[in-house]
Amino acid sequence: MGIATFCVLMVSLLLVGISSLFVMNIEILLGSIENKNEIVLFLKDDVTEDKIPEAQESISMLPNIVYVKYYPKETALENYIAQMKEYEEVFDSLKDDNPLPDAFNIKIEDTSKITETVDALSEFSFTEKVKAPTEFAQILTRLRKVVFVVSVSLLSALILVSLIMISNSTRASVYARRREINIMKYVGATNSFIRMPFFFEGLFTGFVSGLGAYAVTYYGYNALMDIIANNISFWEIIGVSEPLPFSEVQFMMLGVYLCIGAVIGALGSVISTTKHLQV
Amino acid sequence: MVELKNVCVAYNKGHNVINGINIHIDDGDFTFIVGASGAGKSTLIKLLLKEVDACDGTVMVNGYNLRTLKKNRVPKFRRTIGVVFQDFRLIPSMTVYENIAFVLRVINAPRSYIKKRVSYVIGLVGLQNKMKSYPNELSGGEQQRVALARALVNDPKLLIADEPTGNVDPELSQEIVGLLKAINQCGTTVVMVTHEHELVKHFGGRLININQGTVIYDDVIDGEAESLTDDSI
Ligand SMILES: Nc1ncnc2c1ncn2[C@@H]1O[C@H](COP(=O)(O)OP(=O)(O)OP(=O)(O)O)[C@@H](O)[C@H]1O
Ligand SMILES: [Mg+2]
Repeated sequence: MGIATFCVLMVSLLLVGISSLFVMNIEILLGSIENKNEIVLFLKDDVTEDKIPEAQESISMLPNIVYVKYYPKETALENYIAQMKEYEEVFDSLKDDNPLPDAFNIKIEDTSKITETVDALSEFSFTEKVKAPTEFAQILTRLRKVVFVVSVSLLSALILVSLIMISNSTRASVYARRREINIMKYVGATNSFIRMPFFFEGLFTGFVSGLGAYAVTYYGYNALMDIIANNISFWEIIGVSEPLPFSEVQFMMLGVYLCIGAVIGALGSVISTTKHLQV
Repeated sequence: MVELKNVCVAYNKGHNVINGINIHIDDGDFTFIVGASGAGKSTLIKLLLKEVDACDGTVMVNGYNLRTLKKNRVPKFRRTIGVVFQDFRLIPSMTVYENIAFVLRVINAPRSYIKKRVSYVIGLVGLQNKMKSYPNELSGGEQQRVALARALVNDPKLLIADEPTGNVDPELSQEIVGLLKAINQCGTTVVMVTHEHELVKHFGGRLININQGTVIYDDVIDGEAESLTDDSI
């Protein structure tokens, strides 16, 4: 089968691997943006401290809720003060007569259902006002869908393309042996008997290509992460979380490379024998 | 057993290379097929091996109806036949030994049996000292004998030989036909294509003459040397 097939397969696998890593990082980015956005429910002034657990309980009972955190007005004020050190005195004077409302910070599970949850939250008698990043959540949901569709179609296209490229590059080697294949059929060999060596050859080439692609990805990704780690400000500008560390996906990457490589290699070389078996 | 009824074969539509042929060959027969070059002899053999398909008529070989035989059953059918092809069809990347052994590997024969059987048939055609040679290192006649050994190795019910003496001198020709006759006496049906009328006259047997895709003569003729045939096996 040879070096050409090996190279073609390795490049295809690399494309698959790199785009997967890219998509996974985008997912992480979107997820962390999502995490930052909580719904805030402001409580009416007349809700006393002893009614808080009950209110918290009834919110938790709603579907799609991950957690409900009580955020008393004292904490809110402290956080404000901490954020704006230079106006400390102004706020200090407010400590005795805190104008901020008590609130719940609510995290929901499925941002695509945010409108329903907001509606349900507004129904409660203790609710003064619900502040939710509704529009933002919708954009995020749509973005996620796009990323999913694009990545799935990209990966399927890449796998299909590699299959075609592999069966093309094995075709030459099979063509050179077509007479041999014909003769084998004339003396009574079955298709699977004739295909066996081609199958194993393809499997082996695919396996080795998978290892090669893994090595390239390993060094490439880690080198890239080094650059990013040395320029933390860059990551802080575009994102809110750390990029995916390679160690977290290394076994999955290796497994996927070896499997896809072996399957495409074997399938590609078997497909290219088919034409010559029709005798 | 071979049963051909009103069979026609065409490579290109509208031009029949085999044209309404009727041939019946019983188990255990020895049949010579002769005919001018281009008469359709090799095509007839390709038909018997299901290398080409009939466009009309009935084709029964060794109990298989080739016109209705499913693709995945073809290998099993072909294992009941041994063929010496006019162009030998040896696998260039395999040695003489491997070429012959391949036929037995295909049917998953045990290693020890393969070794014994292959050595035996190589002995029959007198190529013991060429076992490790590759086809391109052999003369035409030697390649032809390898092809014969390969056709024999599986102990087929029907042995078909397309010009098995085409590349050898008259003495060796007689030896090869003698070998085929001996194999025939052990119960194998033999069909041999030749254009050497001398050989046919010498050995005798059933003779079918084909011209332009039809049978023009089919009868048994007496040989001059019936007694020469019983020594090889
Ligand atoms: N693959 C093919 N495609 C088209 N025509 C073919 C093919 N093979 C053979 N023919 C034609 O069919 C006719 C019969 O050929 P065939 O090989 O059966 O002759 P033959 O009797 O074996 O001749 P020879 O004694 O020279 O071997 C010839 O006219 C030949 O040109
Ligand atoms: Mg011929």
